[in-house]
Amino acid sequence: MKRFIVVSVLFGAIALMSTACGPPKGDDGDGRTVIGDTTPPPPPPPPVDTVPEEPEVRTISESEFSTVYFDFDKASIKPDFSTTLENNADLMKESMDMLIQIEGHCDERGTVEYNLALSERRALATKNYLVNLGIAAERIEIIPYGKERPAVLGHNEAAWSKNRRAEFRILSQ
Amino acid sequence: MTLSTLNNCLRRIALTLTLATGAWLVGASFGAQKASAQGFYSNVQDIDVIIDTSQGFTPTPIAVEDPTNRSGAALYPSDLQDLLDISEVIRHDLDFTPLCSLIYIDSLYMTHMGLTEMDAKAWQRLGANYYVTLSAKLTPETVSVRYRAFYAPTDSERASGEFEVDRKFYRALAHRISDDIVEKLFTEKGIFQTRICYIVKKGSAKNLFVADYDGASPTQVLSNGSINLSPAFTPDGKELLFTSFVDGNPKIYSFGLKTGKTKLIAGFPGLNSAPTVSPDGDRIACVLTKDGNAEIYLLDRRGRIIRRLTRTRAIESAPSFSKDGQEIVFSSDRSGSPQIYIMDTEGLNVRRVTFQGRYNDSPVWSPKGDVILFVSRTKSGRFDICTISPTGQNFRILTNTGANENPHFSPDGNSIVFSSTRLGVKEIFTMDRFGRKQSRLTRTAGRGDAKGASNPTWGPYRE
Repeated sequence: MKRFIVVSVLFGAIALMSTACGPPKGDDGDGRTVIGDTTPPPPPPPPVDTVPEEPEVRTISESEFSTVYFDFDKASIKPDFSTTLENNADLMKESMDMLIQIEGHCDERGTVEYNLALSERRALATKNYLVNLGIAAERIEIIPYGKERPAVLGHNEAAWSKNRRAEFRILSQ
Repeated sequence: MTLSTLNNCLRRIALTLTLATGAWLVGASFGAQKASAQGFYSNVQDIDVIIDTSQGFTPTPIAVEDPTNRSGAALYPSDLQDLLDISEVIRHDLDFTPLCSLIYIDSLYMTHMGLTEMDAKAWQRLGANYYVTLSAKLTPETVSVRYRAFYAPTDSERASGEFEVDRKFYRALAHRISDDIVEKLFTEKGIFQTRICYIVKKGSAKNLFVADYDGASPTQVLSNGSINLSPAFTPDGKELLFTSFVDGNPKIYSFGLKTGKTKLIAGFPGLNSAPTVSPDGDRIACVLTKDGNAEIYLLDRRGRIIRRLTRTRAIESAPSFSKDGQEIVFSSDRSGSPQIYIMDTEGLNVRRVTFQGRYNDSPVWSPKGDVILFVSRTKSGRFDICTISPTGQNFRILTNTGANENPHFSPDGNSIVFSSTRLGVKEIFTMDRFGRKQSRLTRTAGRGDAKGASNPTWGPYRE
């Protein structure tokens, strides 16, 4: 929220400057040179220097996103994962340019084809949850991997429960 | 007509003889041969032989003469080796099909019995209905083999043939002879020259392989660094359709086995998977999720949508055409769990086939149309290969160990290829349509960086 306000202040400042200084002869219409030309007030520079950098300083890493897990043959989001998904949504709100891919996965049980479709449902359910939390649908791509990319090898419930999942990948930010 | 009644009669006699052969069988001299022959005869499921008699599927006992046992075999040792190799392949072929049960006698046994050569009487005493003799003519480059098949009880010749090939391709020659024997003795087309396609996992990639039906000459035909799945032969055997992640979301491609060229068939948003080609080769049925949910679509051969066939909120998957191409068997979880259904190619006249268990998927229609092959999560919690009639009767479980998947029929409908984890790493296995003669086809585990084989499919007859 705080950051959002700062950003809008910045935009306001730039808007003011560009109108105040008039259109700078077209070619080098970059904020800093304009400010250097118009000597008078020092107040605007500080925000211009700090604000654009602040969101970029923090690069969100993929590991900050948490994986969502599912029950066997199910694609519904379990209540235990609502906080996980809210946190993931907050990360996406932090960097509004971020595009992500949600990978749907299944455990090794069941058939290749059915699991492909099931894994897509898991990815889609996860995406829809984020969209309901206010994330633009265009920012989320989904990909169904079926049972082709297990996170953990093994043939027991301990392994299976870790493989029935929706994982987050950052495509760009 | 008299011939067929005679045949039935013989089959009945054959049954009693087959059951007796267990005692007669002496260890074979070839390692692989020994394993498969003993595996079959010691199989508890031999009881199925009795059940299946009514279906006319009693295997006919047949023997292939060991060329070393013939008196006056005036062949040089190196030439003899060629003929030995050929006879071994023919023996394996005949042992593979449920039409036959192989009787094998090695020279040790013959010495023990005081026999110098096997004649019709000797074979008949061992229970063989037929015996096959082989003779070869060799040049430095080619091998020409003449076979003769005799009906043992009357010692009369019933089939013969002569084939010649480059010596390097002796396996191909042996398979041609086996096909000829089966076609002439049982009036069924042989499958011994067919191929199998499957996926081998290497690191994070899954590559397409093609091998002979018996697993010989495994060849990697496509590797693109990505995951490739669900191969399906076109009916002419020239192309493979498959699902690949090579361009992001799973899309359907075709791959020309001769041309080596990959072409995009279906690349709609979402999932494009489970391609299968109609018996006439003109249409493709597959799964698309472009409308938000997994539905079955009918496409033309180039991938243009003809029509959408299912409209539910459930997952519809794994379509397979009937023999006449007029119906499609598929799976759907519309009832709350995946079950097998049949519809026509308009998407109408839907009927449910399976009612037992809570997970029935991967249905495949048999080439003869009488059986549907599928995967079921049986009471043990295991995934087993099963068969059921299209009307939902005669449910049979064919496997009983490991997780078994992706079953497909041989073009004659007599054999089944599938994947199984029964030995740890997933490998390809074959068995006959009654679950007998289960044996491993691939040995990928521990070979370089390959880690298991899956997604097998059986190619069409080769002309």
